[in-house]
Amino acid sequence: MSIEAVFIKGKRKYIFCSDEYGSRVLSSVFEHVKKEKLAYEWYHFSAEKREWLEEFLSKQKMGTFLYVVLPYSELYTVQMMAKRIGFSSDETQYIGYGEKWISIFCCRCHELNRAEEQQTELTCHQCRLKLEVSDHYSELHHAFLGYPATG
Amino acid sequence: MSIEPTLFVRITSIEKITKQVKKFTMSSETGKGLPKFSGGTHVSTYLKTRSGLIVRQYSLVSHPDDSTKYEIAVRLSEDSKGGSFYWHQEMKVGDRLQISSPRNHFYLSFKAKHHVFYAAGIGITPFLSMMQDLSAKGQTFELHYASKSEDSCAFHPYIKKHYPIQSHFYFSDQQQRLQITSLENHPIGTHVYFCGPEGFIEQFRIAAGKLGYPESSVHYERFLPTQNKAMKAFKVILQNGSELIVEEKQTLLEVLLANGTYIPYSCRVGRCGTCEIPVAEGKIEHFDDFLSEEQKNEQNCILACVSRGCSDKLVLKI
Amino acid sequence: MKWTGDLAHFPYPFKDSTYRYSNNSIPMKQPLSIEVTPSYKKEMLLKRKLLSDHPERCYQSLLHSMTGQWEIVELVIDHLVSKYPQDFSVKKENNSWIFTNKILDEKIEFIFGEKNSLPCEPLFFISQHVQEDLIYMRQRDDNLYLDAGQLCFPANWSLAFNIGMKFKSIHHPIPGFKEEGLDQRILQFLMRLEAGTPWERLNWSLMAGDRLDTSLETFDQWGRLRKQVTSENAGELVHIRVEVQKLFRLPRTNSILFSIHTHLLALEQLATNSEWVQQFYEILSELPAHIIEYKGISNYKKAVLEYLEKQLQQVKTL
Repeated sequence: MSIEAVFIKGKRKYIFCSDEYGSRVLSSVFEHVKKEKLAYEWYHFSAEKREWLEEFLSKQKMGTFLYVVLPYSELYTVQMMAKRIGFSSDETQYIGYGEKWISIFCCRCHELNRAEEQQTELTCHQCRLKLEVSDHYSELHHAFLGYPATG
Repeated sequence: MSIEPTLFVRITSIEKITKQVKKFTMSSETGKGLPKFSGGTHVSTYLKTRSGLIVRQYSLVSHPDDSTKYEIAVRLSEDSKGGSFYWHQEMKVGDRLQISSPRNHFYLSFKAKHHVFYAAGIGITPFLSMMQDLSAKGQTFELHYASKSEDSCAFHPYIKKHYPIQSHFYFSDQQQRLQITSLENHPIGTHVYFCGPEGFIEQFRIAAGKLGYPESSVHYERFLPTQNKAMKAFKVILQNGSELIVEEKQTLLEVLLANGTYIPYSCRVGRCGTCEIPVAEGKIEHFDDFLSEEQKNEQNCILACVSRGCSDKLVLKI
Repeated sequence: MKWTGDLAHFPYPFKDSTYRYSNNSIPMKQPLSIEVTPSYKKEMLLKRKLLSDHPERCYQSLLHSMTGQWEIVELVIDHLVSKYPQDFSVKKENNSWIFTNKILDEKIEFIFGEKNSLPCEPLFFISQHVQEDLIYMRQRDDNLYLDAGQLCFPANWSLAFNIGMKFKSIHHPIPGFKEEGLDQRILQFLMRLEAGTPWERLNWSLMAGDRLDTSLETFDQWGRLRKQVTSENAGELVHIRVEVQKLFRLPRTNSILFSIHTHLLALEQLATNSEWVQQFYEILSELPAHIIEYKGISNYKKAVLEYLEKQLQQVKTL
């Protein structure tokens, strides 16, 4: 996930999906799109209207590029939705902001534990094993692997 | 290392399906079933002719789950180098030959939400097994198929019968033209597949790129390697010091093998990557579809079956 | 359970006096995915107990792996029956199969391709008859994914965590693997793997103890032995662990079967061959720190080297 939105050239249409804070993050890319007179559409996100977003994204044609800037708490749901609809990683940029929680997969009992992004150690809340957080990530579990803590 | 043809088959029937296309059915010689395959698969056929061994690739057009037989469709090409000519003029029912195991370099996308096939002429062949796979899985697809006329359109009755809603035909003798603008209407999540003459593929590939299709959603199959407009001879130097000349009409692979320098190879169209050779020195012109752009730019390896030297000499690390 | 390794069947893994990560795959001479060794019965007992006591740890599959699972059933049964006809047989009538395992005195009837005709998933069923762990790598778009697997004897990794993962992500924890570009080349190699031409490679590590089931899940049970190794007990306690890994292209789903047969041999048994001791001593002395670390040898490398030195001196004084 990038921190800054990057303009991707050569698309027939650009979609910007964000809340108010996110629109500031997207402003430079948006200016670029406007300057080059490229087709675009804004989608002002609100959590209550998530089904509308699904309908909106499903109507898009090939050649569309999607930018999403949302709080981490919303981002993953939207990301999964766009993927389900058919937006591939080559056709999207996702940027999250705010408080970020990650999941840690316990290597012994497979329980997912919630942790803060910077956390390096924790105790599995199910089997009580002391875990060391690794950077080994599973997309399917949307989680990082927790190894037995050494020492 | 998969140079050796691995399956022994016998021709069990030959059917002329258009003026220029014949369909050949083969069954296993050993009594053991033939391997099942996936949509888009081809086999290499090894023809022992009077002028030497001819290796040609053909898509399997039979059902992927049918292990009792394989079918291929061969179009007699005007400038045949012997392959299609041999199939059309010499092959008889009962003849035996060796073919490779099924290979798939043109497979269906797994993540696609919708598949669209663009075929011109005999380019229809890989799509037949792909459509069978998709309809068995209940996935959506459409076919756009251009041909000179209804008469010369291979598998026209079959496709019309089995995929009446999904298929669209374009016959040039009826002033129907398959336009690249068709690419504008596909919903997000579509993967497109092109097969036909080089010019046809290029036209659609470029158009898809201009519309903003990501490369990963665009698939195409060439049966012959990209032709270098001006093929020039070049020299290679091997580690043992010997120098070999690759004439303009030869490939590096052919020259190495003729010289007794054995290197593993397989597809011979720059697709499988088996014949990759490390290069110590010299400028390489890559014509393959295997190496990534980045790997090509590194200029330190060459696929001997299609790629060439474009400086005076290439120093090979073999 | 005491695991006395079997010297006659031990696949000694070293060729040179140095070791680095590489794609050391070679084409198989005998294209078989399985091997039955004298410890078959004992290992099947252990494997079945693990599968029934810890199904989540030892077995994982994604929904779309079903066709591929059946391909594995067909391939493995084919290999068992053709290599060990006195121990295994199969009777096929259309899709009705009767598989007989004479070693375990079992007879299983099922309808090939029909999931409900077996009490468990097809891959789970067949893995109860072979010593190998069986991993199904599905080709999806331009990548390979671990989409099903039966894994009882892992070398310190978790199938439950890795299920559904891309090839490169699976190998992410191996230090140096990505930096050296090996992950990309091996992925490209696997993607070009062809039906009819299977490959094999050996992988090795050292372990303190003699457990076959060194899963990441049970690390707290077996990992602590690493701290108990001394130069006195290393011969008995430390084992060299070799995986015979085999790779088969499954043509129906254009995917890959990866079978792993794990062999253990105590260092004192290895020491019965003086050439092996010499070579292994040289390799271990020279091994870079990141490989030592990843293979989990750091704690007791010194003790093992001392043990090997002693063995070498004994040979010299004899």
